Amino acid sequence: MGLFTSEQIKAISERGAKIARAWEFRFKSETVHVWNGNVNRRFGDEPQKWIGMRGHLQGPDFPFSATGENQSGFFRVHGLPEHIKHMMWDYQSEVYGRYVIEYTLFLDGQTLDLIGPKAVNQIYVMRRLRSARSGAGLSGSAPGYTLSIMVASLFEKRAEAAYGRYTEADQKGRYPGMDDRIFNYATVLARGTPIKLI
Amino acid sequence: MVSYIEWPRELISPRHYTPGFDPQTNPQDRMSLTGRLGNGSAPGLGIWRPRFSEVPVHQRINQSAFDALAAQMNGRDVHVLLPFYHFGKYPKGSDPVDVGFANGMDFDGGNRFVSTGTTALVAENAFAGSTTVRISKVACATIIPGHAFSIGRHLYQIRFVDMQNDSTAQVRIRPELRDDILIRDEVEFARPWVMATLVEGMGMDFDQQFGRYGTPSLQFIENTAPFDPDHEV
Repeated sequence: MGLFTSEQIKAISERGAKIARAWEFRFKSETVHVWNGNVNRRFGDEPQKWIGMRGHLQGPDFPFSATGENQSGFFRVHGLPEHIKHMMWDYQSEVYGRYVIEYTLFLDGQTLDLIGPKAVNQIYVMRRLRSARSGAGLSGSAPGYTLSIMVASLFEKRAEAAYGRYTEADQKGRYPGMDDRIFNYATVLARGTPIKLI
Repeated sequence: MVSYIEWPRELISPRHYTPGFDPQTNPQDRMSLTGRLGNGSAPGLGIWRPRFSEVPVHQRINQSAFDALAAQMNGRDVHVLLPFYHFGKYPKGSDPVDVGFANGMDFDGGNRFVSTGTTALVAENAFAGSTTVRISKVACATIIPGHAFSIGRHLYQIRFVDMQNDSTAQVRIRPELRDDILIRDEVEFARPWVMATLVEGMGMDFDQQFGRYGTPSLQFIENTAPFDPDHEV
């Protein structure tokens, strides 16, 4: 079985499928469904509507890491004050450690119907919430508000510093009073050959 | 104070008009309400970007009306319901006429209702995002591709006509339906409109020659969000 269904391959090659991204924000108090199109709509037979972000939302663009390295990015909502002022909340506990599920959708190029299943593309972990305001420019640009949610990939735990090291000093810190010297030989065990002291 | 403004089409009308349907086929050039999309693309079947080129504004005709409009719009704060100028190209049932009340009376001052002479209704429910509309033709001529109509405050253009007879029609539209439509919603062919927003906050600010006249050009972009009557600015 390939990555795409035969129906999707046919749509991509013949009907000019459009690719959409949809996100399920699992905030602490509620789950919000958004996608990057212009219309609030359903996909397939789902009961819930996905809110079209109409270009206000800029999603992170890092790929799912093949080597397991963590990356971080931002979800940014740009827009007019009236459009997002009701979103200008500042509750870190709503986002910290919560998941964002990202789906990739193939839509028919002619009818915008969903083709095949919604595929989970990536899962992000929300780390931080921040809102900022930029002033008006002399050219007449309107003042803008930005709400940004910092996210990390699912590999975020690997980016954290390890707890302790395999040295005798750290082992004595972990188990005081215990005469344990095995970690003196940790480097020898790891290298396989003894270090010759002169 | 207001939730939207109806563009005073009798007072302020452009010399040149571009409906400005952007089919969103070039991923580099898609506009949203905030300008260029950072996300690369908004998957969709188009967005309206109407352009009013050289709107004649003159002290003796409509300058005060234009100033009042600019002040009430206050940049991009208030959305405007823009007319779509079809220049007579619509499935006309009969000529628009002024009619009074059923008992033959008029309003005080002699004003009467306007009957557009063209009536079409939605014949089948459809969800937002779909592109097929079934139309019940009550008083309506032959529908051809290129005709535009509005349902609610959203504007659509007919791309294909799948089926048509004297009483019903099934059409494919661009852009996709912005909102759910229900049976017996009005399909407005005679006076279509589109809810839009100024692209530039200072777009209504224009060069006034001797403070008396000028011809500003205005660029709008469709407001794709469903109409919210409680939204007030």
